[in-house]
Amino acid sequence: MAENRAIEPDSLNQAARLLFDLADSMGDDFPAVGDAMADAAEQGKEALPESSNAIGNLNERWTGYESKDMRENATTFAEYLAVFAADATEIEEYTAADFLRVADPELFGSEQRAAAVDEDSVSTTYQGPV
Amino acid sequence: MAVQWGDLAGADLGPLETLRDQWRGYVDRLEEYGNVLAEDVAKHLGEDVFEGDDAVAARARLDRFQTAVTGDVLDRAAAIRDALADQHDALKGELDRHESITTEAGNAGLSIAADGWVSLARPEQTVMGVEETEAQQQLIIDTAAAAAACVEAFALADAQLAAALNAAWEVPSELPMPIGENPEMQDIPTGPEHVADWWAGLDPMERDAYLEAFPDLLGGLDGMPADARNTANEATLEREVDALDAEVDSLERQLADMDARGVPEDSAERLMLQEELAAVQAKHDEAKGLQTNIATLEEEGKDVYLLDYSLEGDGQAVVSIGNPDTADNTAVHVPGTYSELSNFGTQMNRADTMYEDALKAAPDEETAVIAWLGYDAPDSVPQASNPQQAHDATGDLSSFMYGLEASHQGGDSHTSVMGHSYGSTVAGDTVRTYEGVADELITVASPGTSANSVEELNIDEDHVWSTTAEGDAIELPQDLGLLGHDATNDGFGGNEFTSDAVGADGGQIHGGYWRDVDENGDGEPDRPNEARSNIANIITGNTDKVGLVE
Repeated sequence: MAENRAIEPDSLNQAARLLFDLADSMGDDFPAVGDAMADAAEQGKEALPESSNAIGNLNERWTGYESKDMRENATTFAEYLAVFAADATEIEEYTAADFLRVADPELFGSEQRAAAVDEDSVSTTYQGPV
Repeated sequence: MAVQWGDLAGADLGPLETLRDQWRGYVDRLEEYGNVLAEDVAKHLGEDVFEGDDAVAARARLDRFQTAVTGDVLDRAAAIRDALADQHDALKGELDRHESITTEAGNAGLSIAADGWVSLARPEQTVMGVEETEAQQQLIIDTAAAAAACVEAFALADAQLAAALNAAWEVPSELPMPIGENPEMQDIPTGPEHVADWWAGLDPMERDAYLEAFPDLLGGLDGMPADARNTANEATLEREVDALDAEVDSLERQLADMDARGVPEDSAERLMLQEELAAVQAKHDEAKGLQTNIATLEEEGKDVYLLDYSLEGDGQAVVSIGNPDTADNTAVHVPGTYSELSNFGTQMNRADTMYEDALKAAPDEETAVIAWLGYDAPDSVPQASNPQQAHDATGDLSSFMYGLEASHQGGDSHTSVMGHSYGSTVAGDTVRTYEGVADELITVASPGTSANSVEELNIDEDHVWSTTAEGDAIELPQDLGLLGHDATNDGFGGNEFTSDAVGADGGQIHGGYWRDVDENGDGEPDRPNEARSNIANIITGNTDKVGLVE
């Protein structure tokens, strides 16, 4: 196995931050599409019975896919990179707060990140892949 | 119920227009996501900033993610956007036509009912001529036809939009899975080579997810790397030991409860419970014994891998001392009659002895020796006179050997399959039945290889090695030839190597190939059995140093 080495840990942090941001963007962007699908499926039942039904099904499938396969992929990938970057900076044990601070030093404390760092998560040792 | 003329009157395409606009924006955003992944994120994960296996896996994961987002996902989203736009325009055109037909019909004094029936809005009081009547009737017919065509075209656009959206139901399947999220058993291939390729294509997070989800399956899957198999099997074994612990406690509590209730010692209820407790306790001890034997070798500083095990029946286990995936030389030792999990420690000791001997024979090379009890060995001598249990094991042993080859890293390993006693029938039958099982076949105290001559084996006779010490109790069944023959028989072919007879009788000599020789009879070991150095030289490829029987 080739030894793993983060030559520039900050670069990994940057990648992690971009992925966290990407996941956030996905979370911000898609709900409006989902709402529009739900509305169209409901409003078109009389005049557009077939496409209304298809829109309803599409909404269910794509919403699940978008949140699970896309957003979670971006998030878990970001977590992995963040932990690897933290490892490279010789942090021995990560709490959720450490993890987020390392992963996203500028955003730490912002509304989105602060919401994630509640009392419980701060006291929980991070168990992610290292 | 089919769409009718009246439905179009109340149709509102506003929500559909909103949806179309939302998908237009979403497709744009997907393109931006793809750009972020392809350019911005990739820039921060380059080879100049991150190196090693994890780095390679991370870049591969990023590539798959980006390819999926900008490929399959974007294609489907764009198809949805285009379908919404096209069919919206078609639907809008039919609604405009609906309005036009309604207006023209009204101007002509006609009324169109919700079901498309056209009639005079106000029946004329004046008497019309024949020509006027015919013209009016024709107008009614034409209006009804136009209304029907409009409804039909509207319904067609509805159906076409539905078909396009349904086609986009199937979500893209090429994205890497989220960590810890439902890896699918159906994605795990069969066949050692396919398994090795599949595993090599997963990134570390995906591997963790699969190991967590399917340790029972992956622990025994040939083609998986040794360290992954070991991780899976150790976790499963630990869980099984805990479960057996709990079961023993429960049965003991039930017996204590019987004591308290004064249930007689010889009652059927108590005897059954005692029998069950003894069986569970025995199984527990076998499992704990396997853990202890592994731990003992690890405490000596050895790399030990639990490559497979089962607590079913007599129990089975496959343990490697040394990593077969990186070893220059790998030997697989197949034990014989009476072997089961309860006495597997003996086979691990023999494998350990061979491992130590191999290190001495080839100190600059890496060697792994595997004790392979991956079959149901005979429980008695009469059972051992039947070749069926050996033949039943050939599929599993060949698969295991192919798996070693598939998971081996960096070039070929020199492989030997060695059987002791009935285990040599298993090894011989496997080499007779399958091609390319190993580079060397070694039989020790063999009752037969299932073949009558080396020509029946799928291996060159220069690589077939056998020994039987003088006075070994196996000589009698060898003479009977019920299980075929080996190189110690005249005319079989192959190489017969030397070994010492260590033990006071034929039974002890049969198990004495790994024991030291007490040459002066003072009860102290003086040197190893010659068989050991010969076996070590064979498995390390130093075959010119093997001592042959003249």
